[in-house]
Amino acid sequence: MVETRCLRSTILVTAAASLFGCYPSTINDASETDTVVTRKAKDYDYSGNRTYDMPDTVADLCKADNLPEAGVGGEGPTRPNLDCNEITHTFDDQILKEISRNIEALGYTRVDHDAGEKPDVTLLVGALSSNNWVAYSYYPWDYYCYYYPYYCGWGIYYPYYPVTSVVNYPTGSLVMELVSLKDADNDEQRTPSIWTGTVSGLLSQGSETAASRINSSIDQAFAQSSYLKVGKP
Amino acid sequence: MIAVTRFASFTATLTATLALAAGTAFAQSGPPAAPGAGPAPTPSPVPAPQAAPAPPAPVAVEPQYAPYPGYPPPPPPGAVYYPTYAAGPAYEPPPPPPNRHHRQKRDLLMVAYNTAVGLGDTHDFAPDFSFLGFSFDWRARVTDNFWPGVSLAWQVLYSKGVHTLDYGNTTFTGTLATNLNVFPMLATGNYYFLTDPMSVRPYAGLGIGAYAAEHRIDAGIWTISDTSWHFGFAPELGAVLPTGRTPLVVSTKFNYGFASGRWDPLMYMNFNVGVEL
Repeated sequence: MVETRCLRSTILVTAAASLFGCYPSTINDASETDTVVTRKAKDYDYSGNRTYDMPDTVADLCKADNLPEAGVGGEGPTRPNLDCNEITHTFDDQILKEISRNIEALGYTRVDHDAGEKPDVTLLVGALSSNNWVAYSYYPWDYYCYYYPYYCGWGIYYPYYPVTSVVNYPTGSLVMELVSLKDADNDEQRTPSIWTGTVSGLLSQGSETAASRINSSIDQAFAQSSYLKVGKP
Repeated sequence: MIAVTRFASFTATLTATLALAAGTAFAQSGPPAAPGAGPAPTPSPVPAPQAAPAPPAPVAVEPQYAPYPGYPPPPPPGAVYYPTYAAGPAYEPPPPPPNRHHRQKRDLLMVAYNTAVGLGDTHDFAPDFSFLGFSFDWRARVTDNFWPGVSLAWQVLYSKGVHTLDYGNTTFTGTLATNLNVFPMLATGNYYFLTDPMSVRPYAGLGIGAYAAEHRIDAGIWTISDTSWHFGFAPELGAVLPTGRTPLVVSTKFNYGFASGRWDPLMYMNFNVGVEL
């Protein structure tokens, strides 16, 4: 009887010890890392925006000189160590065309920047590739000053959603930032970000399916942001 | 004169004979002596009637005993008497002692392989049918029908697919790999409707206790993990099948853990097959 009880106890303990930490469902393919995260501005009325413009290049958000001194909105205590990788510009034209197609499908009309027309919103597109975690909601849009000389020196702020979001970019991300020029804060010399779309995992080099993954992910970012549609309350 | 004298003598003789006969008949009406009490009783001698006055000469009359057929002959002197008794009921041998294997055990351990499917919010989190789970049930006999015990189990519920989720002003789309490791720790009461170990024994049980649940979400390159504790219960229906020395057990169990903090209720159904040790 004693041996039987010892055997039972051994079975129970062994079984219990072997049970912890079983995760049969995991991410095990590069394409499964593709994620699309969009954030909208709280209580913001998008229906009044009708015109847009966007730069003709994809900014490298990971240039060390462009990084803010602190991690969160320039106000954090430390500067993040991104361990950046060089991004590829192979897909820049494809990315910009796909974004333009999507936003115009929502009813926006592109203005002629060279003719001096001022759009309601501008869509900034940047890319970032790094190996470390980064807590960012503030991106160094270095070409902002170059592309919009009037706003040179202005910052982008995030009045509609928290800037403390934790974001991770170990592989590569494409960031789309919709900035309202119509709602610029002239006193503070800053323009509000009213929408952010982040597509992660797209810029991994050597991926043969990168082109289709880029298009489908950009399409998904706008598909899940139907509130951007012109005239929609 | 001589004729009168002979007539009187004949009359006296007849009277004495009738008197003896009457005495014998009277003796017959009494209770018989107990068998074996000894030799057959000797009838008491009847006194001779008074002869008529002045008989000419006494006549010797020998008493005549008629043999009585109801009495056995007296045993010879020195014989031993053995009494006889009435026959009792037929002898029935006692039943053989029961085989030890057929008796109810004092306690038992059930080890079972569990499959499961989530229900409600648990199904939303991990909708796949799960093939990963085990349970260990120890039960002690209080009566042949009632067996309380303890149940420890482990069940993984999981799923992977592309989902779109909304969190406030943020919308997420991507491949979500979800894993839910559930550890029920229950006190159980089990009632066996039939108790013959050599036949099918259906039973019903109810477990009450704690559920530990580890939630894990892999989304893209992120992993979110958290553990929650729930109070819950688990009704169960099952049957023990008489498959030799190690009976087979099949059962189904509904598990429900009440909402805890920010976590939704746990709810899933088990389908188990195991053995009774």
